[in-house]
Amino acid sequence: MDKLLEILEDIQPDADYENCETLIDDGILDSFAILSIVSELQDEFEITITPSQVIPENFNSAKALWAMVQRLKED
Amino acid sequence: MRNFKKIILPGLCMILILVVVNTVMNYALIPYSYVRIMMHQIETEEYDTVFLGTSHGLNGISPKIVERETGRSCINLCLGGEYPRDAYYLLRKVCEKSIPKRVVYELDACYWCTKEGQRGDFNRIYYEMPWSKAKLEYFAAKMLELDFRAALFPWFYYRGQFKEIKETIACKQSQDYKEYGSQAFQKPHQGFVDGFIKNNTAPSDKPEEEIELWNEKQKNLDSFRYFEKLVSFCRKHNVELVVITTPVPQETLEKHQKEYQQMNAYFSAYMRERGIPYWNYNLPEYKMDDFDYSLRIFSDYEGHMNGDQAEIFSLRLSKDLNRGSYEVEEIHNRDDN
Amino acid sequence: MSLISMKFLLFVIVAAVGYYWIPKKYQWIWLLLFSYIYYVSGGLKVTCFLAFTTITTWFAGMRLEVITQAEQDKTKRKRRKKQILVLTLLLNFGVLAVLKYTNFAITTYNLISGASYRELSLLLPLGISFYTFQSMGYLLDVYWDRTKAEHNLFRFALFVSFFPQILQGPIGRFSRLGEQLYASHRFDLQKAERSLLRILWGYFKKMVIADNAVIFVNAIFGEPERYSGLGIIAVLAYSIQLYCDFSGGMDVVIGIAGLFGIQMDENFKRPYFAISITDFWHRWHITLGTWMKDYVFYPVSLSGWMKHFSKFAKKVFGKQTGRTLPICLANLIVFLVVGIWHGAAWKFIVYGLYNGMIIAFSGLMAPRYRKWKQALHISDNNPGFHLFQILRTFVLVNISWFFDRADDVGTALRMMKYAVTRFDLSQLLTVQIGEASGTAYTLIFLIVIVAGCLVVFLISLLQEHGRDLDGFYDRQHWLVKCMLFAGLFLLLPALGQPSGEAGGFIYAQF
Repeated sequence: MDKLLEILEDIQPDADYENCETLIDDGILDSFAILSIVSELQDEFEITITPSQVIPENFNSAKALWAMVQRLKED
Repeated sequence: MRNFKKIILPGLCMILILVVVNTVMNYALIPYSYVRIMMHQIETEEYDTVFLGTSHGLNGISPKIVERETGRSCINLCLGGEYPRDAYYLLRKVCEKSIPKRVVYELDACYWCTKEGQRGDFNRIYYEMPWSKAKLEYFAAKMLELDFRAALFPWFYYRGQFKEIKETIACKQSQDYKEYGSQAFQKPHQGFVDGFIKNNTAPSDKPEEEIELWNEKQKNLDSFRYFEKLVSFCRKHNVELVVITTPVPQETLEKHQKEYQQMNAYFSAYMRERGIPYWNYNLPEYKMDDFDYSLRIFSDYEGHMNGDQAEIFSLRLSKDLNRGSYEVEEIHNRDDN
Repeated sequence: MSLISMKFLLFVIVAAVGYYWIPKKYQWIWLLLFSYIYYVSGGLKVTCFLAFTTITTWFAGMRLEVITQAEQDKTKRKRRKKQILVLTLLLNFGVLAVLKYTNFAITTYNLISGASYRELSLLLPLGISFYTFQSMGYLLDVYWDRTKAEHNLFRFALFVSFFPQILQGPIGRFSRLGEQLYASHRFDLQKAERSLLRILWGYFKKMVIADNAVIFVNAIFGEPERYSGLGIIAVLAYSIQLYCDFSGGMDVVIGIAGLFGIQMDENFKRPYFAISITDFWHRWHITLGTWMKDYVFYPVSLSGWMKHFSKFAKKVFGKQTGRTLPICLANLIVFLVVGIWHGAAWKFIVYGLYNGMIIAFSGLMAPRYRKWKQALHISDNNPGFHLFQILRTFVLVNISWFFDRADDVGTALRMMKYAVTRFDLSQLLTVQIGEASGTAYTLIFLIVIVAGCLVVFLISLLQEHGRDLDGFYDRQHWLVKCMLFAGLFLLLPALGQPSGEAGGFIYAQF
């Protein structure tokens, strides 16, 4: 989880990743940021993220992202 | 009750505002036109011979002379901007009062290869026509395709007339207007006299103008369709139908020889196929000896006749109408050989 | 049926009134009937293309669902699904490509090889770009299990052919549009009023502003040498025309859907207030942008070969640039497609790539921009900086309009040069308004355009600041509302141009 927060801070700093649950809905993360995050997550956690997973439900909060990473690691 | 207050009352109120403003704008902006006189005539009188067609016919055929020479009551309903569709519904309107014995259709080929314009004169016949079954059909045939502003607000095409509001209103308040008189249309060089437009232009050199010429590749299918409806209608009601083309200046004919020849060939064949007598007064067989074909005499390059030419042409047309179509065709076929 | 014809007005009235008269369970059938009446009135032959896309997509969606449920073997399932997807995509995009781009291919080939093959005269079905994109979006959603397939062919046919959107969008999503189309709707006076107002507002923007602006646009872009001093006016007028025409059309179309209780996705969000080209494409033709994002941008960025490229880029350019570069490349591809979507001409490709490159560049520079802003103590909330961003974006967008509207790339570049070197406003009053009236009314219509823009600007400003204009309208007395409706309606003939001069809605030709 810490690693994830580090990645998020690096790509899009100045957002409250601990608490914010509307990263997509509020436009804090745009498409470029989302794809950068995906790229880092794929490298860091050795998972494959497909288009069907790139949905607001998975990206609206750091928690949701972490849950997705866990799910994909198990597959 | 709740429905009335919330929907029907505001709805009616809005329609009322629109109707009132529309009526006022129509009254103030749309100038008096002789089309109104023509509509009044076909509502109140019966005619034996009806002329339909374009501005060439309007300027070249004197119904008074034809009536005198043929002994049959005539009305000239040719108008600038009258496409075959308009002519068809005009005839339908005439027939609501009484069915004429004869229709003479003046054919100007450019109306068969161009699209109808979106200007006041192209909608004037519809606007002036009183409401009836024919007008309802006319609405479906013509107005549905138009911009809804043109259909709902006739003054839309006349906004440029706002400078003449005072004159327009004064004219509409005058006795002449109320009695369907034609005083308003008497000008030094032109007048609506004896049921047609009589040009009083002195002989002079006329500049060459841009004119629309026949182009088979750009056929207006609607024109053909509605002409054929007109033909069927005439056949159904035993109305004699004759198609004519008025003469144009010699210079214009020579300058655009190819297009005129193509037009002559095309429409001669077209009418022959349908068994419709076609008198094309530009063909050598139909040449009039006493008619001056020079551009100096015509009122413009396109071929609108002046008053004297119209008189001569009307006399000749009357003679041909008296002879009867088959005789006329025979005579000219004989001349051909 | 043209959206400005009397026929269409009556068509909508009959459709809307009938919709609330019939039993609710038949409402979607009524909509389907009217949508097909609308489409067939444009020609029976082209309706075959619509039917073709409808049937192939519906069938493919059904097959995909069957395979997902029945096929146990994961690899086999993936392979079979992919086969169906690719086949259907090729068929439908293929038809679109052939009809829209064959002549472009022929002329380009002639240019390169010196041959002179004749162009074909091909039918272009109404709205083919829109309904193809919408249907393929549905198919991809089914493929990715984002939505269930529609089992009823006729219900699906309604989704493809729904008449308010068929001509020029917005491009809808099945998850949002489908359930609304098939649901039953009770008449809601407030919704109906707001929809009617929106329709009138749309016509106002199109007829009073866009149609007058287009006179200047056509005159100056039509004779760039004669009006060489007016390049800036031309492109500003085009900005106005394009926005008012397209967003006006959207207002009309969304308003009409609203009459049936159906809410379509917004396509415009005050685009000229955008602070960057990226932001602009989140506000302009939004549904095309989101379609590209969901169905081109993300899939391309997340594809296998892009992953390999990403690894390579990170090695060569370092982590930050390395991870951004593939996204930039995907973005360029997206905007190449956007350019091509706009038309079969090189200038549109330049237009697309121009936008793509600016976004790609700003993506790459984002971390650097952040550092510079910090160093200069510029906050994003600073109103001065905000205004600078808006103006900068507006200039960049206007440059792109040159490529969109000029006859070709060469003319676009020349006009841009003249705009600066031969700037001369006095030519403005020599532009003729209307067929017969000469330049007598030019000044009047210039004033109409400016006044109209001011009204639109004010309303947009209020909306941008979140003011509830709908609520404000609701609270007015019914007599005030009547006069507002009548007034707007009367402005259309009073200040608009006859469509012979101005033409129909621009995007209706896609």
